[in-house]
Amino acid sequence: MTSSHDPRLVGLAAVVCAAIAVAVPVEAVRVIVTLPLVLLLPGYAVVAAAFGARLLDVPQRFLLALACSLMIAILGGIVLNSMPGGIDTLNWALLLVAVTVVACWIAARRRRGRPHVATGGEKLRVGRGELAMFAAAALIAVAAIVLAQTPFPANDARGFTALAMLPETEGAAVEVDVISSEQHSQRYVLEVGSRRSGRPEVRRFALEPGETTSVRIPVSVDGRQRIDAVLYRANDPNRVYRRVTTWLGGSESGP
Amino acid sequence: MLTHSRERPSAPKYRLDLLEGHLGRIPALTLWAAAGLFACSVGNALTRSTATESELLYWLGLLLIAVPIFWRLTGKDAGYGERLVLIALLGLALFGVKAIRDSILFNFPDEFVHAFNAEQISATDHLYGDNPALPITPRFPGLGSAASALIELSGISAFAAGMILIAAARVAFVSALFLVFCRVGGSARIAGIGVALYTGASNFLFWGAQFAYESLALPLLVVVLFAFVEREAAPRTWREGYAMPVVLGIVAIAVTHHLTSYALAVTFIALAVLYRVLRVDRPNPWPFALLAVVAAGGWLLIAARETVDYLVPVLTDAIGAIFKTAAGEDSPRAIFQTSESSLGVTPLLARGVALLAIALLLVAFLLGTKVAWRRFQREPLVLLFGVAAVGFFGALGLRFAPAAWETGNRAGEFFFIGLAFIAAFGIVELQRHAAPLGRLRSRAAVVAVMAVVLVGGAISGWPWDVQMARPLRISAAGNQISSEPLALAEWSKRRLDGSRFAAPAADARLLLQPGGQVAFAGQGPDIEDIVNSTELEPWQLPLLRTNRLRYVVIDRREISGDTLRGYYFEVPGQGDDGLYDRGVYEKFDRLPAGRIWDSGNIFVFDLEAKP
Repeated sequence: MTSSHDPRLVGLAAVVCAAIAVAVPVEAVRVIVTLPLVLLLPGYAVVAAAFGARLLDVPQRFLLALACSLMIAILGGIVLNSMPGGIDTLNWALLLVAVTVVACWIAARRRRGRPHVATGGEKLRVGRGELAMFAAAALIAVAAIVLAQTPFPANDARGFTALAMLPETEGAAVEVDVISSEQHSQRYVLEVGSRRSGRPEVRRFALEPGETTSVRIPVSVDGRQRIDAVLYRANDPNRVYRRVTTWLGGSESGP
Repeated sequence: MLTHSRERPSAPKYRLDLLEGHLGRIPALTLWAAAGLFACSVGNALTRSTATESELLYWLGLLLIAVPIFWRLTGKDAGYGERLVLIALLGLALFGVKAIRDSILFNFPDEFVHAFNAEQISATDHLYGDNPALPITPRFPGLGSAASALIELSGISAFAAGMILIAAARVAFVSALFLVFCRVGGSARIAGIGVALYTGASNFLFWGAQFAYESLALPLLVVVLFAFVEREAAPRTWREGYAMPVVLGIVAIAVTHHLTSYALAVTFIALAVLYRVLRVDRPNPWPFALLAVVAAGGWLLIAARETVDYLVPVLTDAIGAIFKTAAGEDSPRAIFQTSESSLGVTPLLARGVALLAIALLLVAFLLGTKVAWRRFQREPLVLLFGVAAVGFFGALGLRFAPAAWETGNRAGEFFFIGLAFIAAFGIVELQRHAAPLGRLRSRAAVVAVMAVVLVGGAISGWPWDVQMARPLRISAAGNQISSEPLALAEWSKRRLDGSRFAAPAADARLLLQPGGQVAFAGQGPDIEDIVNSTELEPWQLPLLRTNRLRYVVIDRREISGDTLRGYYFEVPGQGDDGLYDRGVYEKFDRLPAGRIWDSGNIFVFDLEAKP
């Protein structure tokens, strides 16, 4: 007969959680099974193995299950570091299942034929009012978290625009990024070119706050040459707003 | 009823039905705590949106979380189970205060470092990578290892894994501390008050709640203490069971955090000596002391020899600073002042509250010592608590020596464990002395004391001006925009693959995580002088080349060297918006090097883009 304290159930739970964590590609599901697999089950099993037929009271059992699970996670990585494959998903799943199942087996053996020394107690009475308070508390806490993660307008914060440029590793082109972190939409004029190539490539565009535009600009390369990208604001076309440079083509000269 | 047959006198008797059939005030206090958290969240939302700089809502929220719980804990009605649940609620809710302050990204200096380590483990499937910001951290891979379990199995980010891990550690911490105090003190009421007082430790609210290795190791130290004291009180047949978490914990702490493992070793050594001197009629814990020494020392020799080079200068500088300050050779540090900056000056009222908290703790300690000495003068752990409590007040003196401030601050969180226990007796004594005022008034008086301790600790533990969230990501025209250094980090994550940077300290932290780059800052190597000087000295380019630092970040914002404040949007009139001279970036423009990023204040130079 199995009871709620049967270590075999813990071992089975670990196997199921690990299988889902490894096999199911949905992150939310993986999180739900990973939390007990990492933070509870191995520690619970190890504590059960250590104490055998002696049943700790609830606070101690929970605390030691949590703490020992943390200790196993700490030490588990050091063990996995030396294993083939290293510290990856499958190895973590195998390790945690192995620790849990072995500990459960030991616990079951130690308990064999020896009934738990446990006493019952009063059944917990939870009234509707109390449930309502818990539900309200949960909602308020969730609201607090959602609020914390919501970006709000900050009118006093000074916005900016970023201009970035990188040469392609192969080929004769540059990738230019214009990132707007302005508070309002802006119109820009982008000029990209080299002194040797004559007229620069000109692009005109507008960006809303938070928008990025990425432009690939081929450059006809004849030997190594400097590429300049200059950004102007459309309403101030005579003042360089941002400027970046890089070098393309040929090979570097000198040390 | 489940009891230990060889328990100390007046040890609590545990029941399997933790709450004895009813929830007491738990539902109502959970609702209050959630409301307090919401108030803190609203306060932070207002400061993030620059609508106000007022911290009133935040402090009100903090008190809303704590004061109702303090009230219940100081009363006599709550049972053991209810007190334990309330303590766990208090610990988790106060962790929530930090979590909602920084719920988009890590913001604390060490969090970037450890998140980078966790991401490196995930990327390479191995430990012991390199960390340019704090090279010692990969040598203590416990935190990264535990985080990687969550990351690998669930697919969540290092940020989410870190939050979950530290929340779990926080729950373990306060629960274990309650159980230790309960077992040793023989009273759940004393235990609850003691843990409530501990929340007033200056590092509890913020520093100790960050994703960092000590935030995991210190809770495990307390768990080890819990298992130890339970083992002491347990029948012989139970002792092997409790020995397991002690042994496992000692080893886990040794690979997680250097100072905590040394503190644990010192604790067990001191206990072993006290057991011997006092001729305690229980097994001497010398085997645990030996294991703790072997584990800490062994890890130091096997995997973490750099710890010596890391810690020794800090400790010798601290000791030297104490003597120099005492001798008048160095000016004392102004308390509540952050380094040389004029930022973060704590208002007079707040300073008063923080100093009052210390004074009240001293009073509680003195009163508590009388009681504790009478009852526990032959209890080694209680004697150790007393010594730690004295050590706490001694460590306060270190705050006056500039180079010893951090040492004193960090030592305080260990010593405060002892102080909290002793002071809990003092709080109960205070309540007894105040009894002529009436039952409710005397209780209100001690709750007020505990509230002052909590708020005072929060004030002393973190600079005033960054207690609350600042704009890191904001909304504009319905879209999200990032601050200038964050935008650079996000761009580098998209475009560059683990490249090597030299950068000012705050930019470097963001480049580490979320940028995923290898970013050096500070003085080892001397990046600080390169990025801040207006002239290119002859040694600078060779140093960059030797360290293979292809990209150099020049940030004109003077705040860029500040790892508490340098991450956010510039808000005119708020904080330090001074700029370095243009020479800091023009010196690189004169080089044959590429300038690949220009965002107005921040420039990135590519030293390999040359003719």
